[in-house]
Amino acid sequence: MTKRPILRIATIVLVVLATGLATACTGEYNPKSNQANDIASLWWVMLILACAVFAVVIGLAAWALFRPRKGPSTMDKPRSQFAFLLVGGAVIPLLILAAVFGYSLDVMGHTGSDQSGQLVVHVTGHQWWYDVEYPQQSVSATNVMYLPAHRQVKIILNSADVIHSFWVPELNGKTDIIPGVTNHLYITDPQPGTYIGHCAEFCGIGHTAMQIKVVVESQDAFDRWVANQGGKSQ
Amino acid sequence: MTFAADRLTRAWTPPNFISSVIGSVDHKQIGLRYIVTALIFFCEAGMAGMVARIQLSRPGIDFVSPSHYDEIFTFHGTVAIFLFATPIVLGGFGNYLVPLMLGTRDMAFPRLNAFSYWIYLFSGILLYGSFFTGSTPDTGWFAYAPLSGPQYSPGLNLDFWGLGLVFLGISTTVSGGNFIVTIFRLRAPGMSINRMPLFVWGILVTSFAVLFALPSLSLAALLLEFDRLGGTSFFDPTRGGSVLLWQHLFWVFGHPEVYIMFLPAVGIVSTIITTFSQTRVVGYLILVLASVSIAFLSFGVWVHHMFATGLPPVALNFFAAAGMVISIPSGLQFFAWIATLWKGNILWRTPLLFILGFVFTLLIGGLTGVMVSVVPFDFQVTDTQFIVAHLHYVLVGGVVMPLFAGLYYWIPKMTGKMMGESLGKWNFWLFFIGVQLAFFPMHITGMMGMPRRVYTYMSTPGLDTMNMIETVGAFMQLVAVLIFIVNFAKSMLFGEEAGNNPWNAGTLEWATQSPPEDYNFRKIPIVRSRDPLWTELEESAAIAEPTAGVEREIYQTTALAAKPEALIRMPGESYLPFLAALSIALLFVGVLLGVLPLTIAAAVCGFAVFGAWFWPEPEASEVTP
Ligand SMILES: [Cu+2]
Repeated sequence: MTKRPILRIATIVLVVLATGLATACTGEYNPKSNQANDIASLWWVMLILACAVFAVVIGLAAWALFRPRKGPSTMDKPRSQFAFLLVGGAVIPLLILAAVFGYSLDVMGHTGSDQSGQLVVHVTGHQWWYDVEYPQQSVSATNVMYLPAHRQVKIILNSADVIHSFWVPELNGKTDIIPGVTNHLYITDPQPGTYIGHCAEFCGIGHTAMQIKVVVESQDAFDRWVANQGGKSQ
Repeated sequence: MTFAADRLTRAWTPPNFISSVIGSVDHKQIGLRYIVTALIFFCEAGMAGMVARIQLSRPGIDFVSPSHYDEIFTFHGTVAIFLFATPIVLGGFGNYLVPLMLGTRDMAFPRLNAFSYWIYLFSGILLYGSFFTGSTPDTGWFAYAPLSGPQYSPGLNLDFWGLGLVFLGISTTVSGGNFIVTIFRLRAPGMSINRMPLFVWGILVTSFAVLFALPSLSLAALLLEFDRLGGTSFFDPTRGGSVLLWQHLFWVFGHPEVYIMFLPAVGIVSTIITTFSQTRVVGYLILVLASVSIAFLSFGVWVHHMFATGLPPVALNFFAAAGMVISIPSGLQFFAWIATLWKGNILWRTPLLFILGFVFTLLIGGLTGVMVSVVPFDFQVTDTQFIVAHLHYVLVGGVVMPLFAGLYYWIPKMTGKMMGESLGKWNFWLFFIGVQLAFFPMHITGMMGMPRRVYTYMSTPGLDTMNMIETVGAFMQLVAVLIFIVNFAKSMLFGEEAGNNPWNAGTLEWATQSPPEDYNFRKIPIVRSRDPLWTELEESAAIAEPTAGVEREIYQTTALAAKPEALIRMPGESYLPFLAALSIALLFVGVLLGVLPLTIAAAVCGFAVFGAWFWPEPEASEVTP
């Protein structure tokens, strides 16, 4: 009875962790802008810390369950109980949390800010499509957004009806599109490529199909697109 | 001895069958009804989850239509949270166990307790009623405005949801108050507050949380109904309302709600770990303070659910820090449990397996919880499958697994029959592996960019495999639940007799017969330690004078030291709670369907019933000893 559960538990732990790490490493999550890179490094740091905490806690629990039970145990003394709880349950978690929180404040510090020469894009969420307008160029598009690579873009978000969300996983985290509220997000130094964004806030029956294609291309290609649409170049 | 028992039986046993069904005020009856009703809702929510999982098993299939899919995930969330998890921990386990663990004969307000169950049953039926009218709520269990408002969700569906929740809120609030009074005033003589079982602490803290959190939900739902039925514009931004107001009100309730489900489960965990380590729990005071501080902190972190709504960064970081602080008391709990297991001698039985499954699963849920409290990372994963994974690790790991453990642990007390051990092990391993398979890959699909609440997805190699594994895991959980049902049926038919205390546990409920007599304890125990059955309460030692036993009477004791101060006369069977709940239910139906005569008739009946209920008793109801 003592041997089998420990083997099973160990197997499951290993399988779960291995699949998780393996898939995370296959690179399905590809950050392609400064903001996305920041989030990705935060994720890797947190994942490593979480795996370490997981391994230590499960290891202690396994020892508590399967330790050889001969003679008195170290846990009989109130002082060692207290030290175990204090160090394991409070001091170490507090240090880890403080580190993670500090790191997240640092990342929050460079989400972007208004600067000269940035491209401004207005996105309006509708049930169930995105209206994309470029006030500086006086052009517009539907469900597709063209961006010049390696610049900073400020996206201003408004809703025409219910709550939606703007989220392109490779470029930045999501920001909700809320009726009666104007939100914005920045994308700094996007890499060329075509990315699919999903509406992430449930907005009714068309929610699943509500997607936006984001095409990041060179400044020249972007200018050509603007000219083709009859807009003015900067 | 038998003479006293006869008198107790005469005082506490319902006179006839109908009064024992409709009129019962026995906390054990009410608790069992709660448990059975909630388990039926658990199966319903589970079936809805299965349908959603089948739809998502492969990309681009049409097992259900998109509109049905929206109804299904709304139903799954609403039923699982409101009609299963909250009622089973508070109304079910709380009602059955708290008076037994406290060494008393009933809850403080037995008729109110019956009323609370009937309201719960009727509000469940009311929420179900939406199925028969063909308009099922379809905006998620969170019903974000303005999608849930009159403009985007015309029809009765959201009214069933909104009024159903206001109605259900009555039941939960009433039980919360009842538990607080019961726990403070009806403990057995000598059970000072620092000797109270940890499960009772969980229920006490949760009851306070209910009283503070629920008004926010009821207010939100009422304002929504004003908007929908009365033409106001609280949540309509085109007419000066605010859609974020809904989110604030909903999550001021919604975040504590997680802990309302979780803290009683933590009590179950502490109880079972103590029994199956056969040693006194390590860090009793720390476990109590951890529960209290988690409940407090949970009211300060509702913005957790709103990081992506564009609130200013300073506010976000404040709430992020508050959210992270909750992991300190949780960490202390984990280490107290590990220390207890370490100190003790392990009894390898099914309830303990489920608790170990809980430790494993909730640990992962807690770690991802810390991750999503980190604001920039939350921007990335909120409203994706990653959150679906996180919340199921927390709720299935943190609530459902302890509930299974609790069922395996206390069913011998409730029915007098042991559950089968080998079927129990099958049940555990299938469920545990099923949970990991069903929910772990969702972390990955979320990182890959798959949002929540979508009825299908584009075929990509990784997504397809992960979603198929998740569905297989869901089927394993289904098989595990079926095994539980078989195991229960087998135990009722051929189960081994449990005896009073099959697990050699230390708390008072195991001093009663299995199943307990209507009056619970022949003699009210005097408590001198935290685990009375392990120390002095063997056979004859330390028993208080039995109450006279002619009428229903229980001891009232002081709030902290539990010194006896009075004998209270308790009410017997009554049809009033049933009638009161029925009138309120009809009142809600009348308002919902806009049938004026029904509304008026129900209101008049309600007044009459409550009038009869509160009519002063002819004689004094308190006798001092
Ligand atoms: Cu949308």
